[in-house]
Amino acid sequence: MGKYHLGEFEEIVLLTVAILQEDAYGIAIIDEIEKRLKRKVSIGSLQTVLRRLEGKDMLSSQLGEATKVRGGKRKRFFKLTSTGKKVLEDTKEQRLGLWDAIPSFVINDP
Amino acid sequence: MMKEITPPKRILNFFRWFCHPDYVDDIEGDLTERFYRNIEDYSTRKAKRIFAIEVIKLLRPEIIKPMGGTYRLNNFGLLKNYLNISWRSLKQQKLYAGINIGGLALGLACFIMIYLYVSHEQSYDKFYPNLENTYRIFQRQLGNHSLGTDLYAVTPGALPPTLMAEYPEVEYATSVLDMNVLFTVENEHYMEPALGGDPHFFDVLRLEFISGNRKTALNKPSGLVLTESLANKIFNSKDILGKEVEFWGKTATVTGLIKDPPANSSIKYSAIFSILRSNYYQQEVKKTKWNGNEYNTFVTLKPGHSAKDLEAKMPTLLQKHWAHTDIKVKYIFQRIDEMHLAQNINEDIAVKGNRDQLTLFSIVAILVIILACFNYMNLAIARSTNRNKEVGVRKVIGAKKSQLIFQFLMESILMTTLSLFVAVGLVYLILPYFSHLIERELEISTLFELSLFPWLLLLVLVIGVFSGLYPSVIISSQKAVGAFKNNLINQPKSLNLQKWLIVGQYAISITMIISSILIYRQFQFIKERPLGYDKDMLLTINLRGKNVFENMDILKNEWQSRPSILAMSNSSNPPTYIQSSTYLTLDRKGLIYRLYTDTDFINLFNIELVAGRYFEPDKNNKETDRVLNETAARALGWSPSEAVGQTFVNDGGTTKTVIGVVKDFHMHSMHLPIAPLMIGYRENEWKLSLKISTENINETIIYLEDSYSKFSPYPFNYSFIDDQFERLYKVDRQQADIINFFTILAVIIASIGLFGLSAFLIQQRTKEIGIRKVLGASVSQITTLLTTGFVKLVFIGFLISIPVSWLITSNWLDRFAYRISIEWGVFVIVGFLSAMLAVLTVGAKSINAALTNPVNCLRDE
Repeated sequence: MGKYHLGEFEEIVLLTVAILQEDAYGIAIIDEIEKRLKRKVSIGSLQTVLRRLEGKDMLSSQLGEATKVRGGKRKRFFKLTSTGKKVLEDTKEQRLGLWDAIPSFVINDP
Repeated sequence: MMKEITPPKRILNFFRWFCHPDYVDDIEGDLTERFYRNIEDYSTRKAKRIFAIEVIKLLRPEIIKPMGGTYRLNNFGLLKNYLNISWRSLKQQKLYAGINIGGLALGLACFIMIYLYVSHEQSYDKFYPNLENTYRIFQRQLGNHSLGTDLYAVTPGALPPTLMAEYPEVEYATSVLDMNVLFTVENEHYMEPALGGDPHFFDVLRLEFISGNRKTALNKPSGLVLTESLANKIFNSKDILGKEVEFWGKTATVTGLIKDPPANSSIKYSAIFSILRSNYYQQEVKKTKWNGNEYNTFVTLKPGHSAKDLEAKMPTLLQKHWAHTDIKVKYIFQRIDEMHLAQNINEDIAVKGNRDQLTLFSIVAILVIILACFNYMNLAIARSTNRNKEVGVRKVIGAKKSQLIFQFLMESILMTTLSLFVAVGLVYLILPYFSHLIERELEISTLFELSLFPWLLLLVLVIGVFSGLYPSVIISSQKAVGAFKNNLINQPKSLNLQKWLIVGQYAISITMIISSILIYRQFQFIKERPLGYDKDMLLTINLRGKNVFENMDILKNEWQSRPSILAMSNSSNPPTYIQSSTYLTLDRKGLIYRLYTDTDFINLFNIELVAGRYFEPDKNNKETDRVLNETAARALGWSPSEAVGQTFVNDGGTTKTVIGVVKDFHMHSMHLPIAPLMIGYRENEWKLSLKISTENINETIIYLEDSYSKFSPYPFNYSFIDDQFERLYKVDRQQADIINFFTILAVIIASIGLFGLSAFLIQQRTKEIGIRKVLGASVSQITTLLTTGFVKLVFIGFLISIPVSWLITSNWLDRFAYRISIEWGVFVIVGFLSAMLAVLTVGAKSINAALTNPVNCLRDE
């Protein structure tokens, strides 16, 4: 099919960036994931995925203003690109398609 | 927050170093933000720990900066350019390149040869599969010094079975006898080095069998195992099981075929026979009280047991079994691969190496390499001025200092690599001679083993970096502007170092020269020192075979009638080396060597009689009559004239009468002081010494061999007394040869270095010389000006070398009981000679420079 398949963590990161909208930078993304999914995320793993997604043109980034709490360092804000949105939508459709294909008794059975 | 807490600096720096430059800023921001939050949530320490963990987790390919940053492609081009420039500058200055590569190659060649030698020596006996648990047992007989040591390799024949029976940690133990044996097959005789082993021999020494059963090969007294090469020699076949071989008057049956001992086996043999064939052994092995030491004992311990523990149990064993309670004996365990390099032991079965010699050579190897590196440094620094412009241009274009250092390091590594190839070629040429010198078979193929490759690479890197680092730092720290102005800003500073390098080189090589001269003088001294006996035109025949002794009179009469044979005498040893010894007194104190001769001994060897008489043909020579040497008389408390007629009782218990005293003669090498000696009378001892006339020596020897062979199946084994004498100093001679060899190399390397440096510096001063000449300086003045500086350096080197060489040589000389004293004359002569050498090396170039027409050197510019 030639399409890029998102990894599970990649999908989570993309979604979180989408949730945070204008405020999606490293620590904020981590906080959001930790809050919503109750799972630990290290800066290393997040940054790797962010760079990879940026490399695949699913995210774009730009540097923000420096703040004191960050030792005078600037934040890098991430934004979904149109490719990113498309991939997310595709993924969602695939999932839903799969869900729909499951006969209801399989899941609803006690 | 009371005071400012910051993320750990070192970890942060580490992060900044490895992180991709594009991401550094924002990821560091993330890290810091998180850190400050963690301080509020947890303790500072925990926050710091989390910080460190986060940084470590950031070590991912996507985040680490790429090798060489974003300049990767560009770097590749530069690398090519470096190689190109290095190559061009090599070609441009062929003389310097030659000197550099030649010097380094010589140094490396020495290093490689010594490496081959040392690794060969260290590989001895490492091939036994059960090496870890295999030991040999030797003994120390406290106070019983013979030939300079109280260690003896031989032990009682009953020791191995007792060890196996009484000590469960001993897996196997075996008695081994080493001797030359005359094998006879179909009337052909073969004299071969052989080992006698009991049935457990191959359980302990697990040699590789080609055919035959290792478990049963030596079970019967007739058992005999041959090596491949002996099997080939005798039967010209490998299918030899069951074939018959005669020796010791009995038939043996071949029960096995084994591989030849490897070159690094310290035990040499071409056959192994069952020791059970010896009746003597059969009796010895049954004894419960041990009174004799004849056999080498080897043991294999069960895994997990230490030889140290077993060794500690030996005193109890000795108490139970050792018969001579008055001789204190200690058994010592030695792992089999230590035999070769360990201390000297009397009657050792092993071919010995010499640990001191290895250390000495290793030091020499390192010194020679250092010399060569000094050379390289010197020339590289000197030549750097030629490349100032290049450095300047590179700097202007934007080269960083580290890049320049890298460039010049690469150049020196390139040089070293080229030298390595030349060195391997040199080794290939020299190795046969070197192997001959050290009497080992070294093979250059060892060098090409794959496992050695990383080490060679490392050697090239280390030497390249060692010799190239300082010059490249000097060259690259040139200021760009200065580089163009052609005035050598840092010349004075580096020149200082260059001078010290020359001093160091000469200190090393002059030390070596002085040492080799003093060693040579010691050999002269040994040669010229009166021995107390004649050694010219004398030879000794080892008599073997019952038939010879039975027909001794016939043989001697026949020989006496030959005009070419002037005199002869039977003795238990020739005077060059007297082995047998016993205690001097009844209570086993002191030591006296013993010799048995017929009546002609002192006349044949021209040994002087000081008092009394020697054994005479017509007198009734009693078995208890003894002739002493002066030292023995002194040791017993008499002057030579007092001694005659006295009696003494020593170890043997019988009373001996002194009938005469002979002058002391050197009955061992000059390493050992002259010891007490007693001579007894016996008619037919097994060494027959003859004085022959100087004419037709070959004919005489052929005649002797022919007539001897009529009576004995054993090969005719003879040696000249002066050869025997030379053999006493073989090890010393070897060392001396090798030191000479390396001295010459060191001097060549140092001279090459001095030549190169002086040639260069003189070239630098051509303008100065031109101006001096214009102003009226004479050729001799300029030559002196140019030369004295270098001679001074050599002289300082000489001053340093005096105490060093004094220490080294006096250490070497101390091994001799009779030695030269170190005279100042030698130092003076060597100092003068090295100054001359320096003048010659520098002089030619200096005169050349002084003779050039000033017009030629002042014309340009």
